[in-house]
Amino acid sequence: MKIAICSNEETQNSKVSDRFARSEYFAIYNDENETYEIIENKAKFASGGASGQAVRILSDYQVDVVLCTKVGPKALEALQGFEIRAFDFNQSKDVKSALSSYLQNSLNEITSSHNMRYK
Amino acid sequence: MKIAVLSGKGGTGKTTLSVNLFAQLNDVVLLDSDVEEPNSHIFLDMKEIGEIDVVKKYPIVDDVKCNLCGACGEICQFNAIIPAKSRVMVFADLCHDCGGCKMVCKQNAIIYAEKSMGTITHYKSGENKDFYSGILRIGEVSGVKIIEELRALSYNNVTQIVDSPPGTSCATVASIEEVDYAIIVTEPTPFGLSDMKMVVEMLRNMGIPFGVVINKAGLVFDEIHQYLSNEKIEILEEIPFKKQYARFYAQGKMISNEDEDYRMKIKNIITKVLGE
Repeated sequence: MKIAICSNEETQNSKVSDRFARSEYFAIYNDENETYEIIENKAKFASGGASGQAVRILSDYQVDVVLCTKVGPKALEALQGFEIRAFDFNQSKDVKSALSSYLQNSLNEITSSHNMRYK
Repeated sequence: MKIAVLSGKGGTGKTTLSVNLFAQLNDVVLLDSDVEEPNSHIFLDMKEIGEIDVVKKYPIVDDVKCNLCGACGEICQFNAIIPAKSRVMVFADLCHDCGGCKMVCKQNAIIYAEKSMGTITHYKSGENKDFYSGILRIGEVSGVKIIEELRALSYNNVTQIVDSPPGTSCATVASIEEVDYAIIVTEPTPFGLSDMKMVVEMLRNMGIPFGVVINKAGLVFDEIHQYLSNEKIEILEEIPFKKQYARFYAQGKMISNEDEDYRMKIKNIITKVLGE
């Protein structure tokens, strides 16, 4: 199984990113060989619709689970479409602690979107 | 004759100049094409006579016909249509209505539905003044469609003034296509100059003749004159920075109806541009 963590820097020691689709990097952890692959999130350059593109990138890397904080309505729909589950890394400060919280089953699944743009 | 009023930088006085030109002309149509935040109507006391709904098309995918080949997602430049695991997702408000996805769909699985993306309101005063104001719905990504519909309103033998959006984006380009002349409104500030340079480049690329009105003239920054003289760009008029003008503006008043000096400057611009 592959678990992606939204991260600020190109290292597994990075702090987590509180943005999802415009996160700088995704740290992708593979639990079969317990290694990380860090990829740059190209979706962050999109002028619009970054969330769909970000989810597509995660899907291309066969990611099963993403650890992030709030996600918007389009991101949530895209995650469902690509069958990727999202968990709120909550108070975790860095990639490693977010992952270990997830592996200990102490994170909540994100099932509703965060929408403050307009009513 | 069709004249665009644009600036690059926001807040230099496009709308103020547009509505004052409109006020001092007869047989004239004003198009507010700054559809993300139209505000010409605030200064005009005119009778509203109708509203036109502007619709855009967006794709709907037939899941039965679709074989998830991914071609629609490849061609879409706006992430509006995304083939996922078991179905294609459409984000209608990101769609720019280009028609590309339907064109590349070999399965014929895409049809288009319509949704309202904005409106155009028509106002009139007397027999010879018409004003159209476009507005984009919140959440829509591009006002180009509305601007194209504004542009398609055809009037012969009248002067048309296009109050354009700021910047040099698609919306601005759409608003100045087919104009005969452009008036750049700038202000003597570093941002006014910097953004004007982009507008000058755009107008030269598009082959549109233009002149410059320096609004709020007399502020300390003066590199604007140096630039215009180096580039051999005509200064149509300089409108001084005056608190009284700002006061009239803040009261929603037409400055050219309140102040003789200002009116003369507007008339001078009209003479230079229209030869009237």
